[in-house]
Amino acid sequence: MYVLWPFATNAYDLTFKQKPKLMKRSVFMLFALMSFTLVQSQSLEDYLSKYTQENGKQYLQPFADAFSADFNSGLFHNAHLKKMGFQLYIGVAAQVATIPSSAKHFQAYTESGLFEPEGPYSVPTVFGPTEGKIVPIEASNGLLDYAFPGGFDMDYVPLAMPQITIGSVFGTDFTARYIELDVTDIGKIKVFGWGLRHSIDQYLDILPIDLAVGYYNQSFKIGEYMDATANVVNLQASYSIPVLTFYGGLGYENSKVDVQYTYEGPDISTTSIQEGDRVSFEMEGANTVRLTLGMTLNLGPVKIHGDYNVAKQNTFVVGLGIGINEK
Amino acid sequence: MRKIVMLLAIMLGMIACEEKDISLFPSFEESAKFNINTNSFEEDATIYSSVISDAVIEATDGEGGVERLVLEGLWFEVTPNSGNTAQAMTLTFQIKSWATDEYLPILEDFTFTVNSGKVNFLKELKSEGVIELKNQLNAIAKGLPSSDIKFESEGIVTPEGGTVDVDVEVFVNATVVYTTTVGI
Repeated sequence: MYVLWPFATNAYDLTFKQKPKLMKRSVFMLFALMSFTLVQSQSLEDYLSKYTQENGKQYLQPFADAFSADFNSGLFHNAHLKKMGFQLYIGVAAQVATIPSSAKHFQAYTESGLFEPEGPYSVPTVFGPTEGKIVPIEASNGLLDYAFPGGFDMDYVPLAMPQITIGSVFGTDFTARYIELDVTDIGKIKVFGWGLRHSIDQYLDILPIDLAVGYYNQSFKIGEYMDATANVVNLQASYSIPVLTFYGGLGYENSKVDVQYTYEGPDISTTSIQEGDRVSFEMEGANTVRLTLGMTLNLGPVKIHGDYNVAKQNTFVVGLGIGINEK
Repeated sequence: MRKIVMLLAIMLGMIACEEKDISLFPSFEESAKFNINTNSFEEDATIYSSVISDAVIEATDGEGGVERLVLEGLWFEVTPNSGNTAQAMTLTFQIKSWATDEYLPILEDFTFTVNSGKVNFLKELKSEGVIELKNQLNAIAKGLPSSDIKFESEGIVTPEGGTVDVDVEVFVNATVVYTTTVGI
Protein backbone atom coordinates (compact mmCIF):
# COMPACT_ATOMS: atom_id res chain seq x y z
CA MET A 1 0.00 0.00 0.00
CA TYR A 2 2.99 2.20 -0.42
CA VAL A 3 5.76 3.02 -2.75
CA LEU A 4 9.41 2.88 -2.03
CA TRP A 5 11.99 4.98 -3.70
CA PRO A 6 15.07 2.91 -3.20
CA PHE A 7 17.65 5.58 -2.75
CA ALA A 8 20.24 5.63 -0.07
CA THR A 9 19.45 5.66 3.56
CA ASN A 10 22.89 7.07 4.26
CA ALA A 11 22.54 9.94 1.85
CA TYR A 12 19.16 11.18 2.87
CA ASP A 13 17.39 11.54 6.09
CA LEU A 14 14.34 9.49 5.36
CA THR A 15 11.47 9.83 7.72
CA PHE A 16 8.60 7.51 7.15
CA LYS A 17 5.43 9.18 8.20
CA GLN A 18 3.60 5.93 8.50
CA LYS A 19 5.26 2.96 10.06
CA PRO A 20 3.03 -0.03 10.35
CA LYS A 21 5.03 -3.18 10.95
CA LEU A 22 4.12 -4.61 7.61
CA MET A 23 5.21 -1.50 5.85
CA LYS A 24 8.58 -1.44 7.56
CA ARG A 25 9.12 -5.06 6.75
CA SER A 26 8.31 -4.51 3.13
CA VAL A 27 10.43 -1.41 2.94
CA PHE A 28 13.44 -3.23 4.25
CA MET A 29 12.71 -6.12 1.99
CA LEU A 30 12.63 -3.78 -0.90
CA PHE A 31 15.83 -2.10 0.11
CA ALA A 32 17.43 -5.50 0.19
CA LEU A 33 15.85 -6.36 -3.10
CA MET A 34 16.99 -3.30 -4.89
CA SER A 35 20.27 -2.72 -3.02
CA PHE A 36 20.46 0.87 -4.07
CA THR A 37 22.63 3.14 -2.03
CA LEU A 38 23.28 6.65 -3.12
CA VAL A 39 26.61 7.86 -1.83
CA GLN A 40 26.30 11.47 -2.83
CA SER A 41 23.40 13.62 -3.64
CA GLN A 42 23.44 15.93 -6.59
CA SER A 43 21.32 18.87 -7.36
CA LEU A 44 18.74 19.05 -10.04
CA GLU A 45 19.53 22.72 -10.05
CA ASP A 46 23.09 21.97 -11.05
CA TYR A 47 21.74 20.51 -14.23
CA LEU A 48 18.82 22.75 -14.90
CA SER A 49 19.53 26.10 -13.34
CA LYS A 50 20.82 27.70 -16.51
CA TYR A 51 18.04 26.35 -18.68
CA THR A 52 14.93 28.36 -19.21
CA GLN A 53 11.71 26.81 -20.26
CA GLU A 54 12.32 25.39 -23.72
CA ASN A 55 15.69 23.73 -23.15
CA GLY A 56 14.68 22.58 -19.69
CA LYS A 57 11.56 20.98 -21.03
CA GLN A 58 13.38 19.10 -23.77
CA TYR A 59 16.13 18.13 -21.36
CA LEU A 60 13.65 16.50 -19.00
CA GLN A 61 11.13 15.14 -21.52
CA PRO A 62 12.68 11.64 -21.63
CA PHE A 63 12.41 11.54 -17.88
CA ALA A 64 8.71 12.31 -18.07
CA ASP A 65 8.27 9.59 -20.67
CA ALA A 66 10.15 6.93 -18.72
CA PHE A 67 8.78 7.91 -15.37
CA SER A 68 5.20 7.83 -16.59
CA ALA A 69 5.75 4.53 -18.34
CA ASP A 70 7.10 3.04 -15.13
CA PHE A 71 4.23 4.43 -13.12
CA ASN A 72 1.64 2.85 -15.37
CA SER A 73 3.30 -0.56 -15.34
CA GLY A 74 2.99 -3.46 -12.95
CA LEU A 75 -0.53 -2.65 -11.88
CA PHE A 76 -2.01 -6.09 -12.46
CA HIS A 77 -0.88 -9.66 -12.95
CA ASN A 78 -4.18 -11.41 -13.65
CA ALA A 79 -7.76 -10.53 -14.45
CA HIS A 80 -9.46 -12.96 -12.14
CA LEU A 81 -11.98 -11.41 -9.74
CA LYS A 82 -14.55 -13.22 -7.72
CA LYS A 83 -18.07 -11.91 -7.96
CA MET A 84 -18.14 -11.68 -4.18
CA GLY A 85 -15.51 -12.85 -1.72
CA PHE A 86 -12.25 -12.02 -0.09
CA GLN A 87 -9.22 -11.59 -2.34
CA LEU A 88 -5.96 -9.97 -1.34
CA TYR A 89 -2.62 -9.33 -2.97
CA ILE A 90 0.36 -7.61 -1.33
CA GLY A 91 3.50 -7.37 -3.34
CA VAL A 92 6.22 -5.41 -5.01
CA ALA A 93 6.64 -4.81 -8.71
CA ALA A 94 9.88 -3.56 -10.18
CA GLN A 95 9.34 -1.73 -13.45
CA VAL A 96 12.14 -0.88 -15.84
CA ALA A 97 11.77 1.56 -18.70
CA THR A 98 14.36 1.17 -21.41
CA ILE A 99 15.81 4.41 -22.73
CA PRO A 100 16.14 4.52 -26.52
CA SER A 101 19.23 6.16 -27.98
CA SER A 102 17.00 8.77 -29.59
CA ALA A 103 16.10 9.99 -26.10
CA LYS A 104 19.66 10.78 -25.15
CA HIS A 105 20.12 14.01 -27.08
CA PHE A 106 18.00 16.96 -28.11
CA GLN A 107 18.48 19.98 -30.32
CA ALA A 108 19.15 22.98 -28.13
CA TYR A 109 19.80 26.67 -28.60
CA THR A 110 21.86 28.79 -26.26
CA GLU A 111 19.79 30.67 -23.72
CA SER A 112 21.23 33.90 -22.42
CA GLY A 113 20.13 37.46 -21.97
CA LEU A 114 23.52 38.55 -23.29
CA PHE A 115 23.11 37.46 -26.90
CA GLU A 116 20.63 36.05 -29.36
CA PRO A 117 20.05 32.29 -29.28
CA GLU A 118 22.66 30.33 -31.23
CA GLY A 119 22.46 26.78 -32.51
CA PRO A 120 20.96 24.30 -32.78
CA TYR A 121 23.40 22.00 -31.04
CA SER A 122 22.88 18.32 -30.27
CA VAL A 123 23.22 18.19 -26.48
CA PRO A 124 22.52 15.58 -23.81
CA THR A 125 19.13 15.03 -22.27
CA VAL A 126 18.82 13.96 -18.67
CA PHE A 127 19.64 10.41 -19.81
CA GLY A 128 22.43 11.43 -22.17
CA PRO A 129 26.20 11.39 -21.68
CA THR A 130 27.50 12.93 -18.48
CA GLU A 131 29.80 15.20 -20.43
CA GLY A 132 28.01 18.34 -21.42
CA LYS A 133 28.66 20.30 -24.55
CA ILE A 134 30.68 23.51 -24.51
CA VAL A 135 30.34 25.69 -27.58
CA PRO A 136 31.88 29.04 -28.49
CA ILE A 137 29.55 32.01 -28.37
CA GLU A 138 29.54 33.45 -31.88
CA ALA A 139 28.32 36.82 -30.64
CA SER A 140 31.58 37.18 -28.73
CA ASN A 141 33.62 36.13 -31.77
CA GLY A 142 34.20 32.84 -30.04
CA LEU A 143 35.97 34.40 -27.07
CA LEU A 144 33.36 33.32 -24.55
CA ASP A 145 31.80 29.86 -24.35
CA TYR A 146 28.45 28.41 -23.45
CA ALA A 147 28.07 25.19 -21.46
CA PHE A 148 25.15 22.86 -22.02
CA PRO A 149 24.79 20.52 -19.03
CA GLY A 150 25.31 16.79 -19.37
CA GLY A 151 23.03 13.96 -18.35
CA PHE A 152 23.22 10.91 -16.14
CA ASP A 153 24.13 8.41 -18.87
CA MET A 154 21.27 6.04 -18.20
CA ASP A 155 19.99 3.16 -20.29
CA TYR A 156 17.24 2.05 -17.94
CA VAL A 157 14.93 3.68 -15.42
CA PRO A 158 13.71 1.24 -12.78
CA LEU A 159 11.06 1.93 -10.24
CA ALA A 160 9.86 -0.28 -7.41
CA MET A 161 6.20 -0.08 -6.49
CA PRO A 162 4.82 -1.98 -3.50
CA GLN A 163 1.07 -2.18 -3.66
CA ILE A 164 -1.99 -3.81 -2.19
CA THR A 165 -5.05 -5.02 -4.03
CA ILE A 166 -8.15 -6.03 -2.12
CA GLY A 167 -11.55 -7.28 -3.23
CA SER A 168 -13.92 -8.43 -4.35
CA VAL A 169 -17.29 -6.75 -4.09
CA PHE A 170 -19.59 -7.33 -7.00
CA GLY A 171 -16.58 -8.32 -9.05
CA THR A 172 -14.68 -5.17 -8.18
CA ASP A 173 -11.35 -4.75 -6.42
CA PHE A 174 -9.30 -1.81 -5.23
CA THR A 175 -5.59 -1.19 -5.60
CA ALA A 176 -3.59 1.37 -3.63
CA ARG A 177 -0.05 2.71 -3.43
CA TYR A 178 1.02 5.32 -0.93
CA ILE A 179 4.06 6.71 0.82
CA GLU A 180 5.22 10.02 2.20
CA LEU A 181 8.88 10.74 2.90
CA ASP A 182 10.82 13.67 4.27
CA VAL A 183 14.11 13.93 2.43
CA THR A 184 16.80 16.37 3.45
CA ASP A 185 17.15 19.23 0.96
CA ILE A 186 14.22 18.01 -1.07
CA GLY A 187 11.26 18.32 1.17
CA LYS A 188 8.39 15.92 1.10
CA ILE A 189 8.11 13.20 -1.45
CA LYS A 190 4.58 11.99 -1.66
CA VAL A 191 3.29 9.23 -3.85
CA PHE A 192 -0.31 8.15 -3.96
CA GLY A 193 -1.98 5.83 -6.36
CA TRP A 194 -5.30 4.10 -6.52
CA GLY A 195 -7.21 2.00 -8.95
CA LEU A 196 -10.43 0.13 -9.45
CA ARG A 197 -11.16 -2.73 -11.74
CA HIS A 198 -14.28 -4.59 -12.48
CA SER A 199 -14.83 -8.08 -13.78
CA ILE A 200 -16.38 -8.30 -17.21
CA ASP A 201 -16.42 -12.03 -17.58
CA GLN A 202 -18.95 -12.35 -14.75
CA TYR A 203 -21.49 -11.13 -17.27
CA LEU A 204 -20.21 -13.33 -20.07
CA ASP A 205 -20.25 -16.91 -18.91
CA ILE A 206 -19.30 -18.13 -22.32
CA LEU A 207 -15.85 -16.60 -22.12
CA PRO A 208 -13.07 -19.09 -21.41
CA ILE A 209 -10.86 -16.35 -20.02
CA ASP A 210 -11.00 -13.86 -17.19
CA LEU A 211 -11.66 -10.35 -18.35
CA ALA A 212 -11.68 -7.08 -16.44
CA VAL A 213 -11.56 -3.39 -17.06
CA GLY A 214 -9.47 -1.18 -14.80
CA TYR A 215 -8.72 2.45 -14.13
CA TYR A 216 -5.69 3.68 -12.18
CA ASN A 217 -4.69 7.15 -11.08
CA GLN A 218 -1.34 7.99 -9.52
CA SER A 219 0.23 11.20 -8.31
CA PHE A 220 3.77 12.00 -7.33
CA LYS A 221 5.02 15.16 -5.72
CA ILE A 222 8.55 16.20 -4.80
CA GLY A 223 8.64 19.26 -2.58
CA GLU A 224 7.89 22.33 -4.66
CA TYR A 225 9.84 21.08 -7.65
CA MET A 226 7.85 18.37 -9.30
CA ASP A 227 4.23 17.38 -9.44
CA ALA A 228 3.26 14.46 -11.64
CA THR A 229 0.08 12.57 -12.36
CA ALA A 230 -0.55 9.47 -14.44
CA ASN A 231 -3.78 7.84 -15.54
CA VAL A 232 -4.40 4.59 -17.31
CA VAL A 233 -7.53 2.73 -18.29
CA ASN A 234 -7.12 -0.79 -19.57
CA LEU A 235 -8.78 -3.98 -20.57
CA GLN A 236 -7.20 -6.92 -18.78
CA ALA A 237 -7.40 -10.61 -19.66
CA SER A 238 -5.92 -13.72 -18.13
CA TYR A 239 -6.05 -17.47 -18.57
CA SER A 240 -4.91 -19.85 -15.88
CA ILE A 241 -3.65 -23.39 -15.93
CA PRO A 242 -2.17 -25.14 -12.93
CA VAL A 243 0.74 -23.11 -11.59
CA LEU A 244 0.68 -20.60 -14.46
CA THR A 245 -1.46 -17.63 -15.37
CA PHE A 246 -1.04 -15.94 -18.71
CA TYR A 247 -2.22 -12.37 -18.78
CA GLY A 248 -2.33 -9.36 -21.00
CA GLY A 249 -3.90 -6.01 -21.41
CA LEU A 250 -4.57 -3.14 -23.74
CA GLY A 251 -4.53 0.26 -22.16
CA TYR A 252 -4.87 3.93 -22.92
CA GLU A 253 -2.86 6.26 -20.74
CA ASN A 254 -1.78 9.80 -20.21
CA SER A 255 0.54 11.57 -17.83
CA LYS A 256 1.60 15.05 -16.91
CA VAL A 257 4.70 16.27 -15.13
CA ASP A 258 4.98 19.84 -13.83
CA VAL A 259 8.50 21.05 -13.07
CA GLN A 260 9.73 24.16 -11.30
CA TYR A 261 13.24 25.39 -10.53
CA THR A 262 15.27 28.55 -10.17
CA TYR A 263 17.08 30.10 -13.13
CA GLU A 264 20.70 31.03 -12.52
CA GLY A 265 22.04 32.19 -15.85
CA PRO A 266 23.18 35.71 -16.70
CA ASP A 267 20.51 38.33 -16.09
CA ILE A 268 21.70 41.19 -18.22
CA SER A 269 18.50 41.42 -20.17
CA THR A 270 15.68 43.39 -18.68
CA THR A 271 13.14 41.66 -20.86
CA SER A 272 14.09 38.03 -20.54
CA ILE A 273 14.22 35.81 -17.51
CA GLN A 274 16.31 37.07 -14.61
CA GLU A 275 18.57 35.19 -12.29
CA GLY A 276 16.55 33.88 -9.39
CA ASP A 277 13.33 33.70 -11.38
CA ARG A 278 11.37 30.51 -11.13
CA VAL A 279 11.16 28.46 -14.30
CA SER A 280 8.14 26.25 -14.62
CA PHE A 281 6.76 24.11 -17.38
CA GLU A 282 4.54 21.15 -18.00
CA MET A 283 5.45 17.97 -19.83
CA GLU A 284 3.29 15.15 -21.08
CA GLY A 285 4.40 11.55 -21.21
CA ALA A 286 4.86 10.03 -24.65
CA ASN A 287 2.77 6.93 -24.13
CA THR A 288 -0.83 6.71 -25.15
CA VAL A 289 -1.57 3.08 -25.98
CA ARG A 290 0.05 0.22 -24.14
CA LEU A 291 0.00 -3.51 -24.86
CA THR A 292 0.90 -5.78 -21.96
CA LEU A 293 1.84 -9.46 -22.18
CA GLY A 294 2.92 -11.44 -19.14
CA MET A 295 2.89 -14.54 -17.05
CA THR A 296 2.41 -15.30 -13.36
CA LEU A 297 3.92 -18.26 -11.58
CA ASN A 298 1.55 -19.36 -8.82
CA LEU A 299 3.39 -21.16 -6.04
CA GLY A 300 0.55 -21.40 -3.59
CA PRO A 301 0.12 -17.93 -2.11
CA VAL A 302 3.44 -16.81 -3.56
CA LYS A 303 3.07 -15.04 -6.89
CA ILE A 304 5.94 -14.28 -9.20
CA HIS A 305 5.08 -12.42 -12.33
CA GLY A 306 6.73 -10.77 -15.25
CA ASP A 307 5.43 -8.81 -18.20
CA TYR A 308 6.53 -6.72 -21.10
CA ASN A 309 4.78 -3.54 -22.10
CA VAL A 310 4.91 -2.34 -25.66
CA ALA A 311 4.34 1.37 -26.13
CA LYS A 312 6.30 4.38 -27.30
CA GLN A 313 8.26 3.91 -24.10
CA ASN A 314 8.64 0.17 -23.52
CA THR A 315 8.91 -1.29 -20.04
CA PHE A 316 9.31 -4.66 -18.47
CA VAL A 317 8.11 -5.69 -15.05
CA VAL A 318 9.07 -8.31 -12.49
CA GLY A 319 6.91 -8.71 -9.41
CA LEU A 320 6.78 -10.73 -6.24
CA GLY A 321 3.93 -10.95 -3.78
CA ILE A 322 1.52 -12.86 -1.66
CA GLY A 323 -1.92 -13.52 -3.04
CA ILE A 324 -4.90 -14.96 -1.22
CA ASN A 325 -7.75 -16.43 -3.21
CA GLU A 326 -6.05 -15.37 -6.41
CA LYS A 327 -5.14 -17.36 -9.41
CA MET B 1 21.60 28.15 -4.12
CA ARG B 2 21.56 24.42 -3.57
CA LYS B 3 18.29 24.12 -1.80
CA ILE B 4 16.70 22.23 -4.56
CA VAL B 5 17.54 18.67 -4.85
CA MET B 6 17.77 16.35 -6.76
CA LEU B 7 15.16 14.56 -8.39
CA LEU B 8 17.73 13.32 -10.77
CA ALA B 9 19.90 12.28 -7.91
CA ILE B 10 17.06 10.22 -6.61
CA MET B 11 16.73 8.77 -10.03
CA LEU B 12 20.38 7.99 -10.04
CA GLY B 13 20.13 6.47 -6.62
CA MET B 14 17.37 4.27 -7.86
CA ILE B 15 19.15 3.28 -10.95
CA ALA B 16 22.84 3.16 -10.35
CA CYS B 17 24.36 -0.20 -9.74
CA GLU B 18 27.90 1.03 -9.71
CA GLU B 19 29.93 4.10 -9.02
CA LYS B 20 29.57 6.63 -11.75
CA ASP B 21 31.39 9.86 -12.51
CA ILE B 22 29.04 12.61 -13.50
CA SER B 23 29.71 16.18 -14.54
CA LEU B 24 27.84 19.07 -13.00
CA PHE B 25 27.53 22.61 -14.30
CA PRO B 26 26.61 25.17 -11.63
CA SER B 27 27.00 28.86 -12.44
CA PHE B 28 28.01 31.92 -10.44
CA GLU B 29 28.45 35.65 -10.87
CA GLU B 30 31.02 37.98 -9.34
CA SER B 31 31.80 41.63 -9.92
CA ALA B 32 34.24 44.47 -9.37
CA LYS B 33 33.26 48.11 -9.17
CA PHE B 34 34.92 51.30 -10.47
CA ASN B 35 33.86 54.70 -9.24
CA ILE B 36 34.52 57.32 -11.91
CA ASN B 37 34.45 60.93 -10.73
CA THR B 38 36.71 62.83 -13.08
CA ASN B 39 36.46 63.73 -16.74
CA SER B 40 39.62 61.85 -17.50
CA PHE B 41 40.00 58.78 -15.38
CA GLU B 42 42.16 55.79 -14.59
CA GLU B 43 40.70 53.51 -11.96
CA ASP B 44 41.50 50.08 -10.57
CA ALA B 45 39.16 47.35 -9.34
CA THR B 46 39.78 43.87 -8.07
CA ILE B 47 37.97 40.58 -7.84
CA TYR B 48 39.77 38.80 -5.06
CA SER B 49 40.80 35.23 -5.74
CA SER B 50 39.21 34.23 -2.45
CA VAL B 51 35.88 35.51 -3.73
CA ILE B 52 36.14 33.32 -6.81
CA SER B 53 37.28 30.37 -4.73
CA ASP B 54 34.37 30.79 -2.38
CA ALA B 55 31.96 31.06 -5.29
CA VAL B 56 33.33 27.85 -6.78
CA ILE B 57 33.10 26.07 -3.45
CA GLU B 58 29.56 27.25 -2.99
CA ALA B 59 28.64 26.22 -6.50
CA THR B 60 30.14 22.78 -6.10
CA ASP B 61 29.40 22.30 -2.41
CA GLY B 62 33.09 21.60 -2.11
CA GLU B 63 32.62 18.28 -3.84
CA GLY B 64 34.42 16.78 -6.76
CA GLY B 65 37.21 18.03 -8.96
CA VAL B 66 36.87 21.15 -11.05
CA GLU B 67 37.58 20.34 -14.68
CA ARG B 68 37.29 23.84 -16.02
CA LEU B 69 35.54 27.09 -15.63
CA VAL B 70 33.60 28.35 -18.62
CA LEU B 71 33.42 32.12 -18.98
CA GLU B 72 29.92 32.72 -20.34
CA GLY B 73 29.22 36.36 -19.66
CA LEU B 74 30.88 39.71 -19.14
CA TRP B 75 29.03 43.02 -18.86
CA PHE B 76 28.86 46.37 -17.08
CA GLU B 77 26.23 47.60 -14.71
CA VAL B 78 26.25 51.39 -14.79
CA THR B 79 24.88 53.56 -12.01
CA PRO B 80 24.99 57.38 -12.35
CA ASN B 81 25.09 58.79 -8.85
CA SER B 82 23.25 61.85 -7.62
CA GLY B 83 24.41 65.03 -9.31
CA ASN B 84 26.18 63.29 -12.17
CA THR B 85 26.09 65.21 -15.45
CA ALA B 86 28.22 62.89 -17.57
CA GLN B 87 26.26 61.58 -20.56
CA ALA B 88 28.69 59.25 -22.25
CA MET B 89 31.90 57.47 -21.52
CA THR B 90 34.70 56.06 -23.64
CA LEU B 91 36.96 53.64 -21.86
CA THR B 92 39.60 51.04 -22.25
CA PHE B 93 39.06 48.14 -19.88
CA GLN B 94 42.06 45.96 -19.10
CA ILE B 95 43.18 43.06 -16.96
CA LYS B 96 46.56 42.81 -15.29
CA SER B 97 48.60 39.85 -16.52
CA TRP B 98 49.86 37.59 -13.79
CA ALA B 99 52.88 36.68 -15.88
CA THR B 100 54.10 40.12 -16.93
CA ASP B 101 52.19 42.60 -14.75
CA GLU B 102 51.21 44.36 -17.95
CA TYR B 103 47.63 45.32 -18.60
CA LEU B 104 45.94 43.46 -21.45
CA PRO B 105 42.88 44.94 -23.11
CA ILE B 106 39.44 43.44 -22.73
CA LEU B 107 37.81 46.52 -24.31
CA GLU B 108 39.49 49.32 -26.21
CA ASP B 109 37.99 52.77 -26.61
CA PHE B 110 34.53 51.43 -26.00
CA THR B 111 31.89 54.15 -25.88
CA PHE B 112 28.54 53.86 -24.15
CA THR B 113 25.80 56.15 -22.88
CA VAL B 114 25.72 56.79 -19.16
CA ASN B 115 22.31 55.48 -18.25
CA SER B 116 21.40 53.41 -15.27
CA GLY B 117 21.43 49.78 -16.33
CA LYS B 118 23.42 47.07 -17.98
CA VAL B 119 25.82 47.50 -20.88
CA ASN B 120 26.51 44.61 -23.23
CA PHE B 121 29.81 44.63 -25.10
CA LEU B 122 30.28 41.03 -26.25
CA LYS B 123 31.00 42.06 -29.83
CA GLU B 124 33.71 44.48 -28.70
CA LEU B 125 35.79 42.04 -26.69
CA LYS B 126 39.52 41.79 -27.30
CA SER B 127 41.12 38.38 -27.22
CA GLU B 128 44.27 39.22 -25.23
CA GLY B 129 42.41 40.35 -22.15
CA VAL B 130 39.61 37.79 -22.36
CA ILE B 131 42.05 34.89 -22.66
CA GLU B 132 43.98 36.18 -19.66
CA LEU B 133 40.75 36.50 -17.68
CA LYS B 134 39.74 32.96 -18.58
CA ASN B 135 43.14 31.64 -17.59
CA GLN B 136 43.06 33.44 -14.28
CA LEU B 137 39.56 32.26 -13.45
CA ASN B 138 40.47 28.69 -14.32
CA ALA B 139 43.62 28.78 -12.21
CA ILE B 140 41.68 30.00 -9.19
CA ALA B 141 38.86 27.51 -9.72
CA LYS B 142 41.27 24.61 -10.01
CA GLY B 143 43.27 25.68 -6.97
CA LEU B 144 46.41 26.38 -8.95
CA PRO B 145 48.88 29.08 -7.86
CA SER B 146 47.04 32.31 -8.39
CA SER B 147 46.49 35.84 -7.30
CA ASP B 148 43.70 38.41 -7.37
CA ILE B 149 42.12 39.48 -10.66
CA LYS B 150 42.99 43.14 -11.18
CA PHE B 151 41.26 45.36 -13.68
CA GLU B 152 42.01 48.85 -14.84
CA SER B 153 39.65 51.20 -16.54
CA GLU B 154 40.83 54.38 -18.21
CA GLY B 155 39.09 56.83 -20.45
CA ILE B 156 37.18 60.04 -20.73
CA VAL B 157 33.73 61.27 -19.97
CA THR B 158 31.63 63.59 -22.10
CA PRO B 159 30.63 66.32 -21.95
CA GLU B 160 33.69 67.74 -20.28
CA GLY B 161 33.20 69.78 -17.17
CA GLY B 162 30.28 69.41 -14.85
CA THR B 163 30.00 66.78 -12.19
CA VAL B 164 31.12 63.23 -12.84
CA ASP B 165 30.03 60.52 -10.44
CA VAL B 166 29.35 57.15 -12.05
CA ASP B 167 29.73 53.64 -10.74
CA VAL B 168 30.69 51.05 -13.35
CA GLU B 169 30.50 47.50 -12.08
CA VAL B 170 31.94 44.76 -14.26
CA PHE B 171 30.19 41.42 -13.92
CA VAL B 172 31.66 38.01 -14.67
CA ASN B 173 29.34 35.05 -15.19
CA ALA B 174 30.88 31.60 -15.30
CA THR B 175 29.88 27.97 -15.21
CA VAL B 176 31.96 25.54 -13.19
CA VAL B 177 32.36 22.15 -14.82
CA TYR B 178 33.20 19.63 -12.15
CA THR B 179 33.09 15.89 -11.82
CA THR B 180 31.88 13.98 -8.86
CA THR B 181 31.21 10.33 -8.19
CA VAL B 182 27.81 8.94 -7.47
CA GLY B 183 27.47 5.33 -6.61
CA ILE B 184 25.83 2.59 -4.66
